[in-house]
Amino acid sequence: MPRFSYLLKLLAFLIGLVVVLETISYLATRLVINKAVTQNARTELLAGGELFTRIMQNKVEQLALSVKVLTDDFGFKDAVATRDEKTIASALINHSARVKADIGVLITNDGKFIASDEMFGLQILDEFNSLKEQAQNRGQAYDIIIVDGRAYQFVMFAVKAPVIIGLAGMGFEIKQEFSAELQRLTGLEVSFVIHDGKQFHYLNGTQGEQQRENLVEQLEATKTLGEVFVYDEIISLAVPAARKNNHLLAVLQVPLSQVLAPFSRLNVQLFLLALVFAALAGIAALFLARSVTRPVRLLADIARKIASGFYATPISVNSNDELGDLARAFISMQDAIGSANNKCCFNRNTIRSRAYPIACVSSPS
Amino acid sequence: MVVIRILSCIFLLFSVPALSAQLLLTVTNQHGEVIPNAVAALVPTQATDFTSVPPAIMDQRDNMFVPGVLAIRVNTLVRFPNSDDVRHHVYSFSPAKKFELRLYHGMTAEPVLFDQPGTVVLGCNIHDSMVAYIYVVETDFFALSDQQGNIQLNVPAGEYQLQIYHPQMRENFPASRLVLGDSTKQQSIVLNNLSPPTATEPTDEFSDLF
Repeated sequence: MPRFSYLLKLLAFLIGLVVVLETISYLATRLVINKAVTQNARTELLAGGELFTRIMQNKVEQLALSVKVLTDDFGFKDAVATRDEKTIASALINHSARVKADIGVLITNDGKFIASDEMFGLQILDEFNSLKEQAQNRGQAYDIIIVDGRAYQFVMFAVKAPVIIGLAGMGFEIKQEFSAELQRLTGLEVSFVIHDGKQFHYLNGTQGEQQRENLVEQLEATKTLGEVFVYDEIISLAVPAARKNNHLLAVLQVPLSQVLAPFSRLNVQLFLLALVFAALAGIAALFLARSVTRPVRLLADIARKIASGFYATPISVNSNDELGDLARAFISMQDAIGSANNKCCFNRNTIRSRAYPIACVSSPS
Repeated sequence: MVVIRILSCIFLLFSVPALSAQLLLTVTNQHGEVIPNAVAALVPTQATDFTSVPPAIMDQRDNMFVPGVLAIRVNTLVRFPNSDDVRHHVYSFSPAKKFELRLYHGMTAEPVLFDQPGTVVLGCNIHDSMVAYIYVVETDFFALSDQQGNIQLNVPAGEYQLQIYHPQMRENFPASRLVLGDSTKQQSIVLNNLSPPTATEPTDEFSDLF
């Protein structure tokens, strides 16, 4: 057995104790922080979702107001009633430019589609059917229209003279700039995802290429809207751009690593603290071990001398604990063996015992 | 789709004057509810020359056109007196008669001649809720259904085309040929697929849109 075995055991035990305690407290702290931070991120996402809804609502009202102004215009009604397509198209271009709408359309009662952008008109198939039906029945309608991979917020009003003679609508395109603006406002990653009835497509947003694919896959799997969900260490929330369908979703996201970033400094501090405690425990172990090993080593020496026939090594005892007790027991044992031995072979031992210095047994006070 | 159902046949209970036929119609929807203010017109199959007819009146009271449905013969002058203390701007974009009577008071508006058959929808540019229908028909024989949905038409015996009009009809009534003898003919008219009455006025609450 190595000589330092007791010291090593003590050292291992004390440092182990410190490490276990530190680990437990670190894990507990981390758990609490994670929970609080995640909760915080959820609240932030929901607030971001609310903001998005408000912005979309605002845009709808803005569109509605301007479409209403257009459909109430007597000159426009005249143009629609007389099916003057060129005039209608130029009126749509003019009015869309006024309110900075991306597209303006008019659908006549017999289904003729006139748009402020000719190309847009050519690509229309059934996209406007549900919007048309609602506008016919209610006089006004809002929906997300997806044409040629682009998504538009569309508001449509009936043109009444005073019966319905056509349907006029205007739309804002959901552009990349909008997602950037939302990101600036909320501090969240923003993605617009369109759903064509079968699957999701990433429209535009602030996420990178790989994240886009993952997000689309995740949306296919979850399909829960309005609730916070977590995948790949990313906290996410999907908000529809219209109350009645999920043709367009805004997905707000924040990576867990980002919300935990301010707390990684705390991690370093906790680790340093653990190191300091471990060092202190090491020093304490060293002192404790030495206070035990020194007297034990001395007594072991004396015992070896007794074995080799020296019974007169002086042992000074100045401690009152168990080690002192052991030393006193040693003295009495040495005396007893010595006096028994003196009777038979006094001469041989006297000379030898004088040649050795005084041994001292002590224990920590 | 509009369907005609002939419920009962010709009644020959008492003699009627020679060369005079009577057509009694009851207009209902597919649920059996009577439809007032439906216009029935019997257009003679032989073209007739029209003599002058007295002008018709389309009044405006309490921001409403009175009557809401007016049937007139082709070439009728219609006056648009304004009985309200606000001005009205009456217009029509209908192909049968496109006209505009800019803001006016009282009797100052010029009468409008309706010289083509067809439906004319009237509106007021400053009062969106105002709407009226003028049905211009090529015959002297026309009438509106009363509150019970009944129409009585007295015409000389002959061959006619029966036309039915109502503001809530979505499509034209299918043309039907009638030969009327010296008798009274009773017929039920069922109008299917009428659009809901205008009570469903859309709200202006844009926030409902979202």
